[in-house]
Amino acid sequence: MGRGGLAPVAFGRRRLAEWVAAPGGPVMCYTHLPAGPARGAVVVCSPLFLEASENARAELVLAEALVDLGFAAQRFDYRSCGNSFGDPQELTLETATLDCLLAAARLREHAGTDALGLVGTRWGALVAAGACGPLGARAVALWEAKPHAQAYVDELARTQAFYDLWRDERHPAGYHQQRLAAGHPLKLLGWRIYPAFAASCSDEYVAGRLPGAIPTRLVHGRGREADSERLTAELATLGCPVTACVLDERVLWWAGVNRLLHPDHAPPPLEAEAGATARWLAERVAQ
Amino acid sequence: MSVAERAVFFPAAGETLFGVFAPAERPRTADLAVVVLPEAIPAGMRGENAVMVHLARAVADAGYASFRLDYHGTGESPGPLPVVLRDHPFLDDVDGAIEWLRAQGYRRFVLAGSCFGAHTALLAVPGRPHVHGVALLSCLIAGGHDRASQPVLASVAEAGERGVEVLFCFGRGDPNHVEFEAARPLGLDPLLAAPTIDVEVLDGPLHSFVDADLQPRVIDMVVRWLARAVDGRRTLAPVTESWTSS
Repeated sequence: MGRGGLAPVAFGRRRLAEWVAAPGGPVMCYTHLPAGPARGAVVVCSPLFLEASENARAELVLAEALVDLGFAAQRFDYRSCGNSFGDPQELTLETATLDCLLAAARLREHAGTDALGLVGTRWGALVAAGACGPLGARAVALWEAKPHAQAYVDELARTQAFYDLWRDERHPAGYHQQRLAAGHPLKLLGWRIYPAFAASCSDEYVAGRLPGAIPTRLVHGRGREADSERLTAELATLGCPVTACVLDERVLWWAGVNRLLHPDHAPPPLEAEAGATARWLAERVAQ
Repeated sequence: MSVAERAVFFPAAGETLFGVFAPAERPRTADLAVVVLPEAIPAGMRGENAVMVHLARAVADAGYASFRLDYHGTGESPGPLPVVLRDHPFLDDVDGAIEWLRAQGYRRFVLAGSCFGAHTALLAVPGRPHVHGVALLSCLIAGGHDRASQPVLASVAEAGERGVEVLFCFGRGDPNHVEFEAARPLGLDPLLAAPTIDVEVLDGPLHSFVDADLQPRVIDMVVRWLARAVDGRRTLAPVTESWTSS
């Protein structure tokens, strides 16, 4: 088991990085603690694959904005991802949600509070939604969430199809989805998406994973209005008070592809949203 | 699997940077550690498919302590996003990592990097006699349009003179490989004749590790090169067998 190092990195702030024991292998948690008693705590569920890399900075900015407001924040790497250990073939929606619950439990120990909120981006929105019930979360913010997990897997397959075209390879429509269903991993820009992961997404909806009426902030980039409207409608049927925001800018995921086209491609614009999300959560999570 | 990893916040040029130390479970050498330098991207060591994390763990599993880090302003290290410019490597960050490792008792260092991390590793050779070797994956070579970087040439020259072990590894046709080939007739070629310098070119894209099948092969190659470089057994079989050497 790894040991954590604790060091102050800025005035009035404490940062902690440590591995937390988990069934699939130690999970790396990055903890941000305020100088005084925490008013509440927020767990951040990252997206996956290249999207995790692209969103890392926005999540860091979000965590520090929460600390500025007197909150603790926990970011973590799902099993087999980033600095966590584990078998990538065991990464599924269920196991990632378990990792989230362990990260939240550790955050509670550090922060000494039961007042919790969650943030989830893209596929991480499904994880965050699924953790709301077990954690008794008071609010959840979802960035660029797909209403249906299967739509996310389809989007990964289309991204690979785009990359195929880049390399002058052509396949029939649905080729990568069919290969996944047949048990072959999807290799996407150096990541492997395993059949178990895809299977775990087949019947999962953000709305279906939420425990009921919980305040929810939806943030989507320009061009994702349909996802925002559908989620808003589905959450309304649960009685969730929804705050829906559509950014002026498009959020480009899998910019590794775009980076090949545009070397000066800017990072996703969610960094600018971090402060607003932190304030929104602070108002609803504070104990 | 190296389960004894230790998260570290360490000082470097007035900043406090984040790193992960992975001690060797069955050390092959007591005084040497490998510093793993990622590409300079906002996500730090976790980017690039976490290949640099896997490389650091493979190195530790092979018997060499490793230390991977997030440059200032990337990953978990604080500060504004750094400006990345050729010939302006993040040497302060490397020196901070080495100082931390020195405090743990290590005296010799191998630097293994990717892209800008490789560029930084190579440019760390001059003036650092404790650098025993550098593994350079998809290293930036050119200093500008149609010319080899003078600091790169000077670093390769010093590495050859000092007997520093060097591995250049490229994916055939990658932009950095094209740069490398362009630089060869511009003063690089004679320097590569030094006996401690290896050049390997793999069939497939290496830059950013976008080929999932190539990742374990590259890691395996670096580990095997490391065994030769550290143990001084250059009479062993070449690090690559099925791959085409340039």
